[in-house]
Amino acid sequence: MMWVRIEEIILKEDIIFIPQSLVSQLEATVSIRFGQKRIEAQVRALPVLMELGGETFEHPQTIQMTPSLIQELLIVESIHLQMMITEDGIQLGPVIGLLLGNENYRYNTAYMRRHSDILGIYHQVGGLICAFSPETIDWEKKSAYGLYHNYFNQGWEYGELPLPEVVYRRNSHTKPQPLHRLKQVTGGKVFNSERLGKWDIYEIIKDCEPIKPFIPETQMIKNFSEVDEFLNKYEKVILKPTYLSRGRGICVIERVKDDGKKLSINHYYSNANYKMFTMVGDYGKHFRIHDYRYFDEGEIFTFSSWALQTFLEKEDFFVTPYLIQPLLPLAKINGSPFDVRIVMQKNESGEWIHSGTECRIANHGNFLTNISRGGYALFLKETLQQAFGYHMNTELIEKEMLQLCYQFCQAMDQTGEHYAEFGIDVAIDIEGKLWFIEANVFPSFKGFKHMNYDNYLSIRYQPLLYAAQLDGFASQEN
Amino acid sequence: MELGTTGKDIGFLVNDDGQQEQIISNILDKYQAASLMNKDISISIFTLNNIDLLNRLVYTKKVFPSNQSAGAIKIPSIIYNTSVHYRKNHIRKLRQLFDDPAITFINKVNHYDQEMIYNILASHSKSSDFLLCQYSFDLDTLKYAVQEWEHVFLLPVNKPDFKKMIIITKSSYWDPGDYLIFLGEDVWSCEKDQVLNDTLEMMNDDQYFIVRGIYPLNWKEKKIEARVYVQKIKMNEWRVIHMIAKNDFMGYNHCFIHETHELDAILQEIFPNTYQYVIDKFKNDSIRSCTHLEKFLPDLASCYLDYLMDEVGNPYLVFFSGWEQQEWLSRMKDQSVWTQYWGNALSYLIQQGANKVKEGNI
Repeated sequence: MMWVRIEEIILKEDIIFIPQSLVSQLEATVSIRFGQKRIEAQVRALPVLMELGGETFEHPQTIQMTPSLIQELLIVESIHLQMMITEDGIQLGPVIGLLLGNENYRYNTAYMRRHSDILGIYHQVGGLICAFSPETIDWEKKSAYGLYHNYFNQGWEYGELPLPEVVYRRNSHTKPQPLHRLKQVTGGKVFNSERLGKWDIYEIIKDCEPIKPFIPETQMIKNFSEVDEFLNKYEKVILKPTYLSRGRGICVIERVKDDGKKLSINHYYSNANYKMFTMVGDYGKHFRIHDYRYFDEGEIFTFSSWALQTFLEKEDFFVTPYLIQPLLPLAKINGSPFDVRIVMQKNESGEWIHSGTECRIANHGNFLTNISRGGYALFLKETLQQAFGYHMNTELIEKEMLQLCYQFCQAMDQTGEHYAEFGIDVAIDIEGKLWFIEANVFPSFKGFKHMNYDNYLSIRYQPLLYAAQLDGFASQEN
Repeated sequence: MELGTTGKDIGFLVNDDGQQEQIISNILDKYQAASLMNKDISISIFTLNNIDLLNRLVYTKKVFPSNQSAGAIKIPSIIYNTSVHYRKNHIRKLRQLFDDPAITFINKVNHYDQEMIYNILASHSKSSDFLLCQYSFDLDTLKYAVQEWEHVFLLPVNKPDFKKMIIITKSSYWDPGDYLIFLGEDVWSCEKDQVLNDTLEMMNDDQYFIVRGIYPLNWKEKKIEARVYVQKIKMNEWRVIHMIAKNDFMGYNHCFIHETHELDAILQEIFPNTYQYVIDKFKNDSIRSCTHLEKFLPDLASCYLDYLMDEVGNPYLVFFSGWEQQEWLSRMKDQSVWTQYWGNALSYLIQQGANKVKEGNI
């Protein structure tokens, strides 16, 4: 492998000029590969005086290509590439794509800043890092219109780019048809390939023996009797929309004693920004709803059984896919419940590794631990000691948690889809029992950013290292 | 009736105010009913508020051909969007529609980040002659620009509007102060050490980007703002529909009301010898821009480009937008242009519907 930069040489034919030592390993005409682009070209030796560098990213060997080759391969001049001699010729790369969604009008340079943290190790990987929407792919030309990272300007620029060999997906707004085609074209090298809802994940792992004991009872709700059944069984239940993350759309219902207020709905109005209930007397069971859908703090209403049913029906809980689970009696610190976010990623050998752990503590008086809902992050050991005291064997708990996460990742590898990153939420209840809460395919790393910036960066870097090896290239440190 | 079951359901997503609905209804009433019946195509007109996402229905008053009854119908599989939305819940709803694999949008949005448009066009080597030299905003760049350039344009990132554009020029011999700053209908003169502060104040915390300006061409003491309307007529074919000259902002010592003129006529008067070259340049630059932008914004099908001109008639792009919301075209004496604009959109929508049926995608 050699680090190279491309220089244009004005000649009419398709010719590549490389160091003499490499020419002798190749036929006179070879195939040159850059991402999905391939072209036949003649190989010639560079003048001996030009043979310089190539060992490091910082000192690449200059190689020359004729304009037709550069244009056909869509090589961007401002990048340093790795060059490999393969069985059928020369491979330049890596070409790594970040898959954007279908909102092309949003993908400006400011939007791309959210992806800039992963580029902190660009000098280890090199190549073309680009971002594109499946809607801008030219399947025939094997190219895509999008943005690429210009390391030397430290910015993102627009252009026509070769369709990558490897694609890192971190966006859920992708239509299935082009995504399916992209998976085919790359030979399955689109990682984090499927967006999975909470229910989809539950369906995959519910019969997985090692994980089963850690999953709380879960059901997709279709009517009120299913909610009522759960409420007869558990004092508190949580309703979660299957396709939303960051604590959005959540409602907690708790059974309460009849306090004589006897409330019911007789008038109801709601839209996305505002809602109103007028209540009159009613008898029967009573429930308190903590509604986190529109309010960060969780608006609290007390309902009779009939009123609860009306509320759930009117608010489309049986139309939008929602699942119900018992609200677990989570361990607390300073009165606030917490859960644990564990990041699992694939390393350069394609093995699952544990990249980071954070405990997410709910904002005071809140059930939701999400950082975006006012929660904050702490280290695991510190949290467990505060919650359970210093006698607790925190190493054992951590070992059990990681074991559970590895088992989850292995189960996901059996699905036939390609995953390389999960944010797995586990929790410990007040008795110290471990629970599997949910897993996110496109997790947020906000808590890590505040808690341990170095750990945050290593989490952001890992997919780039994984992608490079998937494209057949090593990183400089390795 | 569920129109979706016919597999040829298409529709216009229009603004709430009823004006766009009225225009397209009139066109459909007059010209298209018979032809729609022949093609077995149903067209509905609706607003975002008419869409019930949960039940995947549209509540519409009008479905064409007019012998079909309206009411609750399936959300059309191809939607031409002529509306603009600013409210958060509307944008959220629109984004949910974009995610739906069964729906194809034409002109997904009609409002673009102007700096993004500039950046995309700058990636095309042939854009360089009608794009002004552009920089992201920062104070150091502004300071440099004000010192070194005769004319500095600050273009609003989110509002393609001449009234929001800030122009900083070095004062002439007879002007007061060192600099003149123009914003919409106002002009300030200021001293050298005040120009940055005054500019920042005028920016009012809005986002701008910096462009090396030109001295814009005047006609009858007014700056000429040229607007070129471009539409996609069929796959891979963009066409300039019309070009107008308008006055949307006021220059120093000028006082006028909003006016619309045929650009051709004005150019012919100003450049009697080079008129054809100038007109062709406007057309070619606009087509070239749209052809390039479409590669990055594949749903684009109706748009306009706003230019200023230098003294020899070279156009310089200032703003770009999707479906026009101010409807300057409707103010032209010749109303057939306005009808044609809508008619083209309708034809393109019908064509896309027919293509999709042919491809078996519906």
